[in-house]
Amino acid sequence: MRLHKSGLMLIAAIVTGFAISRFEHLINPYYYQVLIYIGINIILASSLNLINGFAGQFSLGHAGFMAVGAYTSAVVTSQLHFASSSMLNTAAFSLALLLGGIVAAIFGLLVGIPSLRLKGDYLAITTLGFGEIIRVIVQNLDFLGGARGFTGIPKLTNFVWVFSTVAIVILLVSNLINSTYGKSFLAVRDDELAAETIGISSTRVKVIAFVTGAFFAGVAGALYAHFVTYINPAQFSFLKSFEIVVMVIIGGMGSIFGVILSAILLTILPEMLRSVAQYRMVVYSLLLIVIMITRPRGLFVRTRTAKQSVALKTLR
Amino acid sequence: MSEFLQQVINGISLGSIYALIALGYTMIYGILRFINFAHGDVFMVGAFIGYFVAPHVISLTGGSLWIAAPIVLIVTMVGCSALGVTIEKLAYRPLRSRPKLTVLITAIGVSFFLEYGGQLVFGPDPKLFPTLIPSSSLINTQHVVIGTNSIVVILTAIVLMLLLRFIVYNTKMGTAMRAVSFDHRVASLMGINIDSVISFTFVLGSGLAAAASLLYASVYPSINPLMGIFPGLKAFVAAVLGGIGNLAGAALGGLIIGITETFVSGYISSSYRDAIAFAILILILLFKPSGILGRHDRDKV
Amino acid sequence: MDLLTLRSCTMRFGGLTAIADLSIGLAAGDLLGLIGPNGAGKTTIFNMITGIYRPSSGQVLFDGHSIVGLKPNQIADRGIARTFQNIRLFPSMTVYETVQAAYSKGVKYGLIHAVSRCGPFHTSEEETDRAIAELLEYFELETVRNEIAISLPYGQQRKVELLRALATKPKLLLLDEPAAGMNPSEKVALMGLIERVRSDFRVSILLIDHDMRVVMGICKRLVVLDYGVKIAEGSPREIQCDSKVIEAYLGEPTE
Ligand SMILES: Nc1ncnc2c1ncn2[C@@H]1O[C@H](COP(=O)(O)OP(=O)(O)OP(=O)(O)O)[C@@H](O)[C@H]1O
Ligand SMILES: [Mg+2]
Repeated sequence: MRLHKSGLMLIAAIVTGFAISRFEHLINPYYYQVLIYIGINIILASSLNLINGFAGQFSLGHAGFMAVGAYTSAVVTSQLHFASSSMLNTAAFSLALLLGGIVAAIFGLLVGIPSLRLKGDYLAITTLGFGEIIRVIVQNLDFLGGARGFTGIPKLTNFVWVFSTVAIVILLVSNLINSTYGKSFLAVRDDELAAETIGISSTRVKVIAFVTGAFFAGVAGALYAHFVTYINPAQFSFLKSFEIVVMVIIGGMGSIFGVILSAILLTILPEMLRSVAQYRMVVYSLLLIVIMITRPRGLFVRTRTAKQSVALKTLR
Repeated sequence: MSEFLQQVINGISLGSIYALIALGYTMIYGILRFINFAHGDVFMVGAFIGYFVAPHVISLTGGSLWIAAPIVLIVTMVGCSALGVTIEKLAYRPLRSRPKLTVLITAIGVSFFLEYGGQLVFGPDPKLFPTLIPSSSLINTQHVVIGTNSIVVILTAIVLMLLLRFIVYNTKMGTAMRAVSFDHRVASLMGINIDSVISFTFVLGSGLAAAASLLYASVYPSINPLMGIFPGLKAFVAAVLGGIGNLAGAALGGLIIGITETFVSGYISSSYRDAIAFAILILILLFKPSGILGRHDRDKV
Repeated sequence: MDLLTLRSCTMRFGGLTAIADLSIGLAAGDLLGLIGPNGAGKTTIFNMITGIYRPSSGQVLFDGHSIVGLKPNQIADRGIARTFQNIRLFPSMTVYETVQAAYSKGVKYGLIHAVSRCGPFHTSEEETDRAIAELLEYFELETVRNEIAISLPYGQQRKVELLRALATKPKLLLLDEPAAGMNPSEKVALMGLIERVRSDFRVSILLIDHDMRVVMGICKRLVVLDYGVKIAEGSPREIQCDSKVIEAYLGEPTE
């Protein structure tokens, strides 16, 4: 039953994507760009949600994984020649996305290992540090363009690529979480020690979460790179990581749907506030503080009972 | 050799600034068990208070920097302390019994607010910080230049740290602080007013950040609303390195980070400057998470 | 051969010796009671057995193999499950999901199958669902299967925690004060349940409780602990008359 439903949804999403892409040239380029950013942010936020929301590991380094994916894929496509054949292009870009994801996943493994020993604040600042180290290293690598950035990336990302990936990510995450297997993630998040005593290896769960989350962040980075065609290390600073974290927090950690909504909202909102750009970030930060004080579980999450909400409030 | 000496002096001077900021992190962490992400931005506000106040004070004192500088220092410290206490009251106090994560994110929010609020109020472009420390070089050989700047920075830091030590170990409030950092519940049973101790901790921490900001701006006189981010993060690393919650550790950690950073930018490449602190952080957390002078305590099940 | 053997175990926390040179044996099928005044070190013993603390010295043997130094999840894999004195349920989960979490280790598929829902996924999930439904029925929790576990009354929460432990199919079950916070009639029901669980699921049980009636009622053998030292061991009747035990509980020498 479920297989049918999820499989159908995926196919429907991709078909719709293709259909819309036929009319791509009709869409106002500015709206088109916002649409693409929404897709990329959904991928980023959903993949971070796997780490933060489902496995309970507070990570502030997501932009680092994104950078790894962006640069890896850019190197791949710059090495390949793009023929007129669109089939070849598709194959080459698929390869670039995949490699971007895989290399990011390897970095995810590296970051995941310290997470086995660290908790809360310490983990947050360590992952932030990792992200920054990745950025500084890229900045010092001449073949990646250093601080000047990497130019001339072919513009291969389009609506179909982005929203197929969105569909896949959402499907995978929701399949995982709704399976018996996936309950081990929630158990580690809720109470690591109790989870261990029923045989769940928290080590395994955390590593899987970091690796998978990083993989999709890498793919998102690759999609981003091949949309903007120019990347530089500053685009992947910890401010970008914060931005993604805020999407997850406001959407509600561990809420698949809420995180999608907040990724959409938080992509559009800054655009709407563009006319009052100088107040934008101030409003944004005040919003964050107020939400944390009044609705710490996120805007779109309803706790199921009063007692649960009390327990969740003190949940680490 | 002489270049080495120069680097050491610069490193100690930078390190003592980090140490002053780190003390704030470590005290607040010791009492509330969370990273006050906005601490680096309180530091930034300090630099701007100094920027606006200094010219008035200097003209009032007839241009005598030796009289003006201490006045500016005190005004800035008072201003930042007020800011720190306000942040604690409005943003952190409502969250005191909440999970750390909530508080951490709120702190990030406060940090953003100060940074972007700062851009709004002060403008995003860098400003030139006025000279507060009369500059002359005490030693000036062919290779080594040791200016009054470094010496004043180091001496001010030492004096403030001794003062802090006195407050924490020899006054009633300091004893209360130590009691609260040991155990909130027990401390409140002993009749200690937790709220006022927490406020006092923010006063001390923010005051030291204010002092650090003036010293920092005197060495690197270009100030802007985002200037607090990296010194803040590095000082936090210093606090962890020394053993969070430990005052001597914060001072030691600050020095180590300052010196390492100076050496890395002097001998390797200044572009690695901002990453080195994080590399140290990751190593220390992996191999000695309690820090150099910290003690490890175990969760009770 | 004993299922579980503690051989001169000592546990120190800094200067405090919580357990001193303790030896305990538990045969397969046993229901051994562990009693002692507050702070005697009972919970600490559970924490040592389940790998949460590593004994400062001494041996813990399970099924003839040393389990000292294994991680809690590895010890759980060997077949030891426990409940906690201060209930530790998963705050976000329903009763059903809580039991599911205990099954998450035993599913017959991996990550790839979980995310793609192919291969053995569906048969395995159906199997698990049936097994959980049976367990819920056995524990009379089927009516609350979709309630958030921590929102249930205390007695039921303890039952859910017991069920979660049992769902890992352990050989040895460690119960830390399962009757705490229950009313007398619930306690009687619990005693019956523990007895039934022991024979129906063929588990051995090590039970801590403060309620003498509970412990004396269902355990054939008891170990009494005071200040981390075993001061007596024997049948409930022997323990009741033991002068050292009376002394430990009343705090005065009986002359
Ligand atoms: N992690 C720890 N660190 C320091 N001391 C500990 C720790 N865990 C237990 N202790 C100490 O060990 C002693 C035994 O505690 P334990 O919890 O095992 O007692 P208990 O017999 O279970 O008591 P109760 O009946 O109150 O549950 C106590 O003095 C306790 O304070
Ligand atoms: Mg106990």
